Amino acid sequence: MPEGVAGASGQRATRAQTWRRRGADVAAVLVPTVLFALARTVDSNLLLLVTIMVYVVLAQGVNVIYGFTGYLPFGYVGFFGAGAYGTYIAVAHLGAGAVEATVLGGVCAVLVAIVLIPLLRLRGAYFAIASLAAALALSSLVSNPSLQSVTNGPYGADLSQVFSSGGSYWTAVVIVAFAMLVVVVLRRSRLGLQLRAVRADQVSASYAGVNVVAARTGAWLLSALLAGLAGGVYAWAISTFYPTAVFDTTISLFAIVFALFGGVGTVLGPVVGAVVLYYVYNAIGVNDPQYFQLIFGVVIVVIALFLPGGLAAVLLGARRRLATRGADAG
Amino acid sequence: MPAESASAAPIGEAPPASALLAVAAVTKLFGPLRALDEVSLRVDRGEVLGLVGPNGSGKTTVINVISGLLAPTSGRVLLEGQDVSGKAPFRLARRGINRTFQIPKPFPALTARENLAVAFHGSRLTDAEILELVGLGGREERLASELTASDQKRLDLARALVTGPRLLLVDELGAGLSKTELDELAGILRRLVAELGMTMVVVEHLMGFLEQVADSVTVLNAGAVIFSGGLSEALSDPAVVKVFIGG
Repeated sequence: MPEGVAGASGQRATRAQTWRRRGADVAAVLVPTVLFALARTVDSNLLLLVTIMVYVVLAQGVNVIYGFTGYLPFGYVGFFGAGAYGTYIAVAHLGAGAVEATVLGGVCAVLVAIVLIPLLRLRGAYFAIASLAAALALSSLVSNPSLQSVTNGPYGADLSQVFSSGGSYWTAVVIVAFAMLVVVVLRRSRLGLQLRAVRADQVSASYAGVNVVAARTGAWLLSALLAGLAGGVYAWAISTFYPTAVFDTTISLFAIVFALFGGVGTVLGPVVGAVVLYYVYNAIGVNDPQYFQLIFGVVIVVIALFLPGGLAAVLLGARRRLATRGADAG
Repeated sequence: MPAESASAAPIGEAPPASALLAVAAVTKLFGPLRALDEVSLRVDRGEVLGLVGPNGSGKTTVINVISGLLAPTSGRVLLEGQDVSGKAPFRLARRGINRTFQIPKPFPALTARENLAVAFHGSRLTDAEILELVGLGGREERLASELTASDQKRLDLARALVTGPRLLLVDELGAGLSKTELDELAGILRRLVAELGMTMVVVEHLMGFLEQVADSVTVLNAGAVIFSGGLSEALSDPAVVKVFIGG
């Protein structure tokens, strides 16, 4: 084949791949967003839908920090609670509107993450335990009666003056779209590639010229922002809450298991994990929590033993096998 | 390149203008263990210095100190006269010092192309040209974990080259390779010096490999420099012979 012709067909193939990839990226952002936007037409329980979207965002936040850096944040709920209380403070003390307050909730979580950057010096179980301790400390701080003038201490926060089930629902849809966009961009970006490299081998990554600390910090702040926004919109949706409700460590656990079940490091895995498992929880966990705890425990064991890559790994593996079989047959 | 160019640098004095790298009286302690004992060496631009010595003599520790993985306990590492001692590897990579590893450390879940795309781009060559140069042309889309040990070493080298190093530290590239693979890699290193003007420090046990690439050698024993000069003189130096053969 003449070189020019081979070059032209090669370029066409590359261009086709690029367009296919862009199409997949756009679909990854739009499909969940549109499905959640339409969900209210089949399920009128807006608080349930907002809660599922909140868990989708949290699972994507875990995806960013764990899937891309390997840090497992058992104290992730700290950012969620900071977002909820940041939203409350913005409404109650700054007179902000609910949407602006939700954004400020995200900013508040990022500020907490900045304070906690030194935790990134720890690894493995040490990091997991330290992040949990930080979340508990933050919870104690927020619920301290001496901070009643700021957080209303242990007596709970009231956002009923800005309550809007529709407003919080549509804001949650936008936050889901934002979370999907963050993960898609991160996956395609050089930062995402660098984070995957850092996760594989931080020494090699450093010799590749990657500023390991800066890359990890970027992922840490991004995941905090997502949790803060989720906390903010959740606070808006439920309207009144106590510190124990938004600093409940079960929230961290749910987000982590949802992300792992779907598949961390992928774009859609955490979405599928959050939707499927939260619906299971909603179906049986509310009335018969003991059965859900049993199922939840079994799911964790199955993931740890047989599905370290989650559902996404199973589907991707099946696709690869089919492609290989097709190539062999061809 | 004259064999005398790799000489012990005068301690505490600025290196000559031609020196790209000067290691001045570097000592490295690991607790009570003196891994490096006032090691000094100098590498001129375009020179390939072989670093040899028995196991545990401190060769890799020298590479680790120069490349920023370890900070020296005392002494200095100077790049073009500027103190770079203890700077983080990513800063040194951006300033023109990079290295390969005795056991290659590519990112296993990334393709060869992605392994290079991760890196800071300081080279005037494109990634494709670098992969071609190291002999990985046509294997760009292979996962690093699927490459042979020899190809993983080439990928390790390629990733270092992407950052555009002026000083390349090569840590036992030849270990575990066949004669043919060794000759190919020696040829690649020679091309890097001849065509890109690269300066190198090559840690190697295989004298045949060093004969092909090194202009001079520095011999370490128990963390101290015992010889600096030409390879053939080293092989007839009584102190070196005693260390390697005994007696």
